[in-house]
Amino acid sequence: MSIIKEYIKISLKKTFTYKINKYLIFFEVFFDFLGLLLFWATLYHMDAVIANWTRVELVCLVGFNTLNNSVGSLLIAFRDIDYKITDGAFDSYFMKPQHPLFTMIFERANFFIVILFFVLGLIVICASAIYMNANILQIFLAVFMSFVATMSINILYAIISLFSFKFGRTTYIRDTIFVAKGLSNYPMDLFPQLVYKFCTYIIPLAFISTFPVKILSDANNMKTMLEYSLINVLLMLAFMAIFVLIWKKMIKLYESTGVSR
Amino acid sequence: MIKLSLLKIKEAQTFKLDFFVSLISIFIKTIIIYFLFDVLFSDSNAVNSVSLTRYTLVASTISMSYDPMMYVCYELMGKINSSEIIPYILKPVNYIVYNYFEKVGIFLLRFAINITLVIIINALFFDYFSISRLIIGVYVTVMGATILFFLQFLIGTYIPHVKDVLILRDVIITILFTFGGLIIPVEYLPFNLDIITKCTMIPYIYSFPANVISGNPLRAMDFAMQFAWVILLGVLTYKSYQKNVSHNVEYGD
Repeated sequence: MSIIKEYIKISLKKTFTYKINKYLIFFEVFFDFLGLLLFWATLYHMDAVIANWTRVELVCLVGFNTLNNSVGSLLIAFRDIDYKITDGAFDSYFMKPQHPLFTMIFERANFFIVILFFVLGLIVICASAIYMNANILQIFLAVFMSFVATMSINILYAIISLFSFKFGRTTYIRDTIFVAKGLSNYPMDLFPQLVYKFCTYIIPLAFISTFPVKILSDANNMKTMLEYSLINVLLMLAFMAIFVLIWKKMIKLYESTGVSR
Repeated sequence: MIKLSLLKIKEAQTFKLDFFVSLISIFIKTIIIYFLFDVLFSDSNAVNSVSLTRYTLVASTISMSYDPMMYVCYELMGKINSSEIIPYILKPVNYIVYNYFEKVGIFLLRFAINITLVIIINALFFDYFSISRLIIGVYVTVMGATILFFLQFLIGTYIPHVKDVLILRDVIITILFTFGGLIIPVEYLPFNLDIITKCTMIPYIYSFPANVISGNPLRAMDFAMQFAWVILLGVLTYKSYQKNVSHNVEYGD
């Protein structure tokens, strides 16, 4: 735990080396959040009919996506794995007494951004939850569901990145697949049933924001939502198992001065 | 300079996977947006979901084609902080012009490939194709790319003073993405934001070129404003480069 504390301290020190940075980062996070809100405000301005979704629910959806950005910022190191492997910089992570991936994640994360996204997301979620008369159990379950789904998606992202040990750069193919991640910004039940079911039972994008909002807005469907939570957790465990298997296989291919066999 | 652009195009051909992948990305994005707009505007008389999808498709294509321009500030930072910029400053050609032609060659190649796919999709699924709009569209997209290039370069010229300008660049890019009309045209922004935005260079990078190519109504004023922003940013970038970079070669680490 103390090592994590040190990483956080170093990251914050780096961020605040130039005083202006903290304001700029604040603006960046704020505009990122504003962009999502503005999208829905524009659609309302255009008289779009967003069936079964109230304005508060849409704001709450934005809150969950902001929380998702927080986890994404924490795990941003997964984006750089292929660069580190192909140029041999991955070597440096074997010199330290922690797991290479642990070091990579905590060295790369900007904790100021992570905290800002987290606090902003949580404030929006809690404010919307109060407006929707949700209780503390609903809030907890919704945030937990969103967090687990976000982890699953990031693990899936990392799984594809691990193939860099074998194929070198995977950036293009990975980023193409993850264009579909944009789906989580929208209420998933607006899409055709096939897409909706795929994003529930195969790739848990619907659990990032759509289902959590439904948990907060309707206390009567808690039993169904608990069942969905179980599916969500099982999917994450499955992704984690695949990740560990592939990591063990791929790390054997690493040849220090760059990939690959 | 044109030879430099052609050389960069030849180099870029080694990254064919990049083009293939950008085509798939456009396809996935279009499907998502089509499903969404189809549901949201199925009963609307004011908004046509098909023309809105066409706009988003073109805006995404333009955004992907602008990729080489997005790295201008980052690359300039590397060159200045490592002193690699010095040989370029000593060359008889101004580095802004040199760098612009380097980037514009790859941009045009990407744009040509991406836009061909868009034309095919438009003709097949949206029953829309206009050669005159396409020709004007190429002009305004090159102008949009030029604005983005100058903007990135201008931010980069402050590196000798602050060393790291990437956060500032990221803030400006986030503002461009938020108000720039990447999914919905700037004209639809609420709370009079459309009027405020049109006084800045923001809509002339993504929204205006996408409007031209996708067949939305045009205003002569937009052409004039886009041209004015290119000139203004060009002059500012040149002045700032001369003051902060050209005369500060000793700042390299």
